Amino acid sequence: MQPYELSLAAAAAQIRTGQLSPVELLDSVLRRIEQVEPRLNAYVEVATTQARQAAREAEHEAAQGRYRGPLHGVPAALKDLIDVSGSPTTASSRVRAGHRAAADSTVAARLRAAGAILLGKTHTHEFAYGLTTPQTNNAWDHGKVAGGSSGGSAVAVAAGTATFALGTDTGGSIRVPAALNGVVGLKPTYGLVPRHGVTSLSWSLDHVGPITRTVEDAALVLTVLAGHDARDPASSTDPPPGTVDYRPDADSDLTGVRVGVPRDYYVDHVDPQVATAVRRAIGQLEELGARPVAVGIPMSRYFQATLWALVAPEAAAYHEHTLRTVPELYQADVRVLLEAGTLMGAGDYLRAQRARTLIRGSGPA
Amino acid sequence: MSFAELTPPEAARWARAPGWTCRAPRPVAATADQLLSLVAVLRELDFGETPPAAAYRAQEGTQSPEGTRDAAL
Repeated sequence: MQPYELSLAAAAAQIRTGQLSPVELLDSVLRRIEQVEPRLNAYVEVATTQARQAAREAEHEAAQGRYRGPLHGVPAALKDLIDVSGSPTTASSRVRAGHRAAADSTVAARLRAAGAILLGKTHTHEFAYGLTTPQTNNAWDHGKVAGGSSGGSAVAVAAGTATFALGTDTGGSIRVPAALNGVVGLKPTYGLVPRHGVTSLSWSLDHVGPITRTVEDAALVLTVLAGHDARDPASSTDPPPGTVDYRPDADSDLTGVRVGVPRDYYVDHVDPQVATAVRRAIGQLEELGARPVAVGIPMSRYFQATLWALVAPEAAAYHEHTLRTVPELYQADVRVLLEAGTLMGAGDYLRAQRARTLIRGSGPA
Repeated sequence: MSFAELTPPEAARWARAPGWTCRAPRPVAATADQLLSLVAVLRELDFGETPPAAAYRAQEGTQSPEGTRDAAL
């Protein structure tokens, strides 16, 4: 197995025990990028020079027995909506030409503090407003879409050109590309991961989360990312940063855990192969001691309407200035959606915010 | 207004009002019409005294009963 193929947990463990150096790992990932990136186009930019410098520092620290945190020396890719100090945040859009982030986003700063090597920025469907990421090819079948909007991050993780990555999810943008490239995508609970320094699509619904090759890796990254930041008004104050370890227990005993399995909505319109895989997963959870409980999802009839009545006006509001001044710089599909969003009324928006209150209060039945 | 009657000229007129020029009135009108039709289902709801979730906080009211371990699939 080549170092670029290692899971995050395995790579971090090998670095900590001295079996693998951060420079060896980065070199392996960079060689993989040279090999496959020309046909995948997952990256907007690979920060080779900065990454090599960071890897050498990490190697030097490891040689002295100093480890910054659980991600020490492991290369990560960030969706190009996420600010990294000194680098452009392009949102994969010509609208952002000349942009340069003045500071790290909260999530980039937390990854750095945990020892991660920030390797580069990955493609998004323009400004996260779409589910295909047309610039990027699927990791497994180049005739199929990458999925989006975090398509570059999912493809990079699946192809071995990043050991893990971050994406953002407003209406499926982590989950869809993760599914279409066979990797793990986690949309955390709203408010758990701060969004400060992350370009917004919809303030009411944006999330930042990990894309990884294993569930354990996702838990490892979430442990680093989660925690309050007052600069994000939706940031949850519970739990405080660094106080919860989301990694699974070593014994994997799930006795006493009730697992809600939706009766409706979740399993509607599902491909039979997907349904079979989900049933198999439920069976495995039962074997580990969990108790599946069928639950109804109230008000699912209103989910899609609520989503669009929030996202369309909020996205239009975010882009109002550039939509007026440089509309020709947007891709046609995104520009039409943004312009249509300006035509939605305050009544539609407030009905959606009130529906959100009702949905949240209804709980599973 | 009727959601099904948002024509390209109306879309262009609406779009001019806030001070910008709609470059593609027909697709914008068609998309806006789809969006407005989609969100119209929210008019079915009886909101009563329900306030908007403008100050949404994720952690409120989501705790499990003490001593239980819950998950969702």
